[in-house]
Amino acid sequence: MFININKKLLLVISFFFFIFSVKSEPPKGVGGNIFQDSKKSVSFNSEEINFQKDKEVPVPELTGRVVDLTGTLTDYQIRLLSKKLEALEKEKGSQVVVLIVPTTGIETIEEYSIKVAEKWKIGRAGIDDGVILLIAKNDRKLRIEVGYGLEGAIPDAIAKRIIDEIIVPEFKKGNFFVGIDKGTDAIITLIKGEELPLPEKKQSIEDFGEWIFWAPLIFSFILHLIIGAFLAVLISIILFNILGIFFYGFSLEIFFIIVIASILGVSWYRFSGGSSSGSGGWSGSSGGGFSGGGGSFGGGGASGSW
Amino acid sequence: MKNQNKRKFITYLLLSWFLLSFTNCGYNEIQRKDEAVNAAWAEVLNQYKRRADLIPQLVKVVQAYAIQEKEVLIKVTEARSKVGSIQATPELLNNPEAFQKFQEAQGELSSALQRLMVVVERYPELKSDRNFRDLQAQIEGTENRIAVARRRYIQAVQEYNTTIRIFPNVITAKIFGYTPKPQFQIENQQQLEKPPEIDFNNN
Repeated sequence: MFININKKLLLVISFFFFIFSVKSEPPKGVGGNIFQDSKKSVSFNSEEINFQKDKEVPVPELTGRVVDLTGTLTDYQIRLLSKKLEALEKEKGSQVVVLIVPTTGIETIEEYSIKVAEKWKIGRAGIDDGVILLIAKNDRKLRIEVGYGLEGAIPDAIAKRIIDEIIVPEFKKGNFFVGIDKGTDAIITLIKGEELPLPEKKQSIEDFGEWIFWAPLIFSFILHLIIGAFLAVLISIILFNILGIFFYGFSLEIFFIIVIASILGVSWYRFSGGSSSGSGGWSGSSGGGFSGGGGSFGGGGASGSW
Repeated sequence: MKNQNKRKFITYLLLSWFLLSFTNCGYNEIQRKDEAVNAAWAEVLNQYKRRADLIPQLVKVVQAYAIQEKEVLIKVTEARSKVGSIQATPELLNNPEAFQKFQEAQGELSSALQRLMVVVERYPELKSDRNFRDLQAQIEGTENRIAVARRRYIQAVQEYNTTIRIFPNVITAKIFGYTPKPQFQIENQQQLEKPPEIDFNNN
């Protein structure tokens, strides 16, 4: 009877999951929407749902290095820009992103821009080497938001010049991609000229794949047969963290995985269903995602209009 | 029997929650929030100073263009020296009167600058002068930084004031003499944001 109830419950729960996953629409960004011909001026999503001139505009999700919610850029152009910005991050560690919205609503572009900066946290934590190029297309306003760490490389006056002399002339002609492309080139040049801490070789999960999970698990399992569960888990956590830090530098994700793996190592056989669920996803999951590095902004940069 | 056990359990639960909330009675948290306020205030002062430092160069560049509205320039210089005369230290936070005076002085400087910028609109050569444009960008950038620093200060003060008012922290706060910190007055801000009226007929 107990097993039957479980099965029914499982069925009901999976039914609901199915419903919810089908219901959730794909994201509002340009990315994979086959209905968007990016030559057209505006995406059918953005105007209706998110962006109203007399209200606050929510900060969109950071879906990539170039977030275009107006359908201005083609997929190819977005990929081109993203590759360029990704190369910069690999080389210097700094993060530069581009955000195109139809309008910043009731807030000024400066107010909106700092909200985006605080949510996305572009740039490395502590080094604060992030830059956001924000374009409010229908407002005909743009802004370069510069993180604390790059205020020396990109002072306000220089940012203003990039806007006035490089980007705006192109925007006035309607060449949005060229304007953004040239503008980001100028920003990248300035960043490259600046002495910044070298980027950390992100030797996180992708490099050693699943071993970060299996090694502590097996180790703690074997050890606990000898000296008991608690000591085994403790030693496993300490040992593998030391190894991890020694070889790869400290990472919170690694720490947690080691802890969880160690604990599972001494308790997995007590679960009825087997707990190896987590391992499969990790070696594949790392590559695509882009996220802010925790950088902070102080409101530096410049705004302009065309 | 069951009810008695249940009640015991709940009592113990409540008691332990009650006792736990008294652990150092929020003293550490008050310290942290206090430091956050000081840091935020230091940043505000930093940006105000940055703006004040830009003014002399700005005045010099504008003077070279011999604009007619000289009194606007004079007002800016006066407002700046008034701001400079107030000792801008962390201690301002503990003196509400001085804090108010400081705010007013900064507000006057903001208005004077805004008036100057409006006047400059009438002088296209000055407007397109490279040095002036750079300075204008710097001042605009600084004004934005001031706005951001003020916003973060307001948040820090909100958190601090809340922390010293909730129970049981309020007791600790009273014992150690932690008082609410001053907030930027909204009336002040409204005045700051009002666009200046310029009478062009007087010249």
